[in-house]
Amino acid sequence: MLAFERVSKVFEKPQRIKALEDVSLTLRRGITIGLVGESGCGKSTLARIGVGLLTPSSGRVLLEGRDIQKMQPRERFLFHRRVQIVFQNPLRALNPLLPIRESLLEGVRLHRLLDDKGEKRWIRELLEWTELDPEILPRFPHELSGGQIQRVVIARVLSLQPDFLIADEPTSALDPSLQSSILRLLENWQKKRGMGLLLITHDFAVVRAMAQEVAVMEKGRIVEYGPTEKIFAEPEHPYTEKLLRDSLLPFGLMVK
Amino acid sequence: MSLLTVDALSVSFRMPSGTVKAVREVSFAVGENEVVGILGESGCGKSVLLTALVRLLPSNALVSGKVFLRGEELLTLSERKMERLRGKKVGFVPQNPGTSLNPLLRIGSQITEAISTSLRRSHKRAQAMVSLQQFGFGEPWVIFRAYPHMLSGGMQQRVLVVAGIINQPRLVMVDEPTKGLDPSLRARVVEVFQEVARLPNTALLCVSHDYLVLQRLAHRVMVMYAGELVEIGSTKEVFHTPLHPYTVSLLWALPERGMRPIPGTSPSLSNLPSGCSFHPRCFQARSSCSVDHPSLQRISPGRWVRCPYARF
Repeated sequence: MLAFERVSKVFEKPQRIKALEDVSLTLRRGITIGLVGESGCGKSTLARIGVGLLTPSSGRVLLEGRDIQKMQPRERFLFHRRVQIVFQNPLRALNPLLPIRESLLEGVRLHRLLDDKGEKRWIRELLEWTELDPEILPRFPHELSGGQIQRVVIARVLSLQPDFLIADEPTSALDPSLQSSILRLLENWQKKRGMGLLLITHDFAVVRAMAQEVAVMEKGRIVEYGPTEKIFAEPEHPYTEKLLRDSLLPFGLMVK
Repeated sequence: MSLLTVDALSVSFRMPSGTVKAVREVSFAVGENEVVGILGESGCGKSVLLTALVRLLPSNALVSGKVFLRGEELLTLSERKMERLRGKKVGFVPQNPGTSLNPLLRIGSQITEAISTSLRRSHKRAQAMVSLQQFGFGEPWVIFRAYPHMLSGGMQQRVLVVAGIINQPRLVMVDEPTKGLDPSLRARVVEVFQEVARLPNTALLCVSHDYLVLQRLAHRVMVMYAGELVEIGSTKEVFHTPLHPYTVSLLWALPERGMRPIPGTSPSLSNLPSGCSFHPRCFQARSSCSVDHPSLQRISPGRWVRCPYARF
């Protein structure tokens, strides 16, 4: 279990902003939670706190009941393998000076998961999973297309076999057909390995196709949380209703 | 007579790695007051097509074909005449509002700069204010004095719309107006363009990969794949009874319609497959598909498809 417990985050600079207020959310293995909300509502702040890139101003993040702030270095190191993140802009997630092969193996080597022979086998398996051409291994990030890079980033993250993955708008920069292939990839991996997935997106159609539970965030607070079907069929909070209405776009074909 | 007629327009780029065929033999027409959408994915050539129509491509582009705006051929027009025509007769609303405004100039001067007629400054200013108000800025004088960074992405987009339509062009071209926007902002942007389409004597040509946006805006939709138009029809026909296997697959890929990815990847425009460009990814490809390049066939009035095996 990865649990956010009454997490708040205040940024003091450049001006005081309450980015998160009293957010509690529990991610279990094998489950996908969709986190939706407008740009700037605090979704990404929550994602960064979840993987320990930011510290909450108050509240705790617990992995299997252990507060990640209180972990000893060794335990914290393991936490960073077990909880992974994928960002919206994949190009910035890869070191531009490393060939793809090195980027893919960086994490595995850091955590000493495999020997040389294992590495080769593992890379082959990863490429197969993510439908990447082995041809890309010696290349550099700038030589790949946007869809390929996002696959590399996901392959790299999955190479550590995380128990929990936080995906922050993983496909909003991609076309519909690439989007669906990447989401299917995450879904298949999750089903096979029982990973917990926190899928942050502003696309309700994606949430509906992927998530079992939905949390709706407005201005740093979770205003509604429940099973996906219920949220779509009978949203209770007016903000959820508004978001749903907006995502369908204003009604009616425009006819002059 | 159509407002815009495009006849066998092709654009290619000579690159060190080979010739990139970005647009191949594209022909279509846009009527007065009509809203036409071009649906296609990144790299299919749709932005190049728009840019070619206003002749703003880089100098290494090889363009052939004909483009008529109310009977006047644009591709052979002198650069001076073309310059006068841009903005005045054809408005262009670019992608990326963040990078399309000059960060060092106030919004007001960027809009009045676009006004092509020789009006007095105070008149231009008044005209800009009216347009800003029309597009949802309650206090246009505040926006007038603001710099781009002071505005949100949605506001910047509306400023670009105002600059694009301020000369009341007959044709407004829009490139990916909703890319990367959250639902609320996207809904607002769609409303803005519905507003544009309602302006008297204004036709709209809108490029997007967002089918919901086109469904709400367009009368007709053209589907583009690997630099070619593969299907043309009324918006309702294309989205409810798609004919070309690519259109069918693209709609299947949407999360709300099953989220089934199209196998394979889009072809490189410098190394296109033989025969039909879509055949390596097509669910109903036959052996002849890798040999014969299909032409755009007319199925019924206004309905065209580039596949001999489309079911209709």
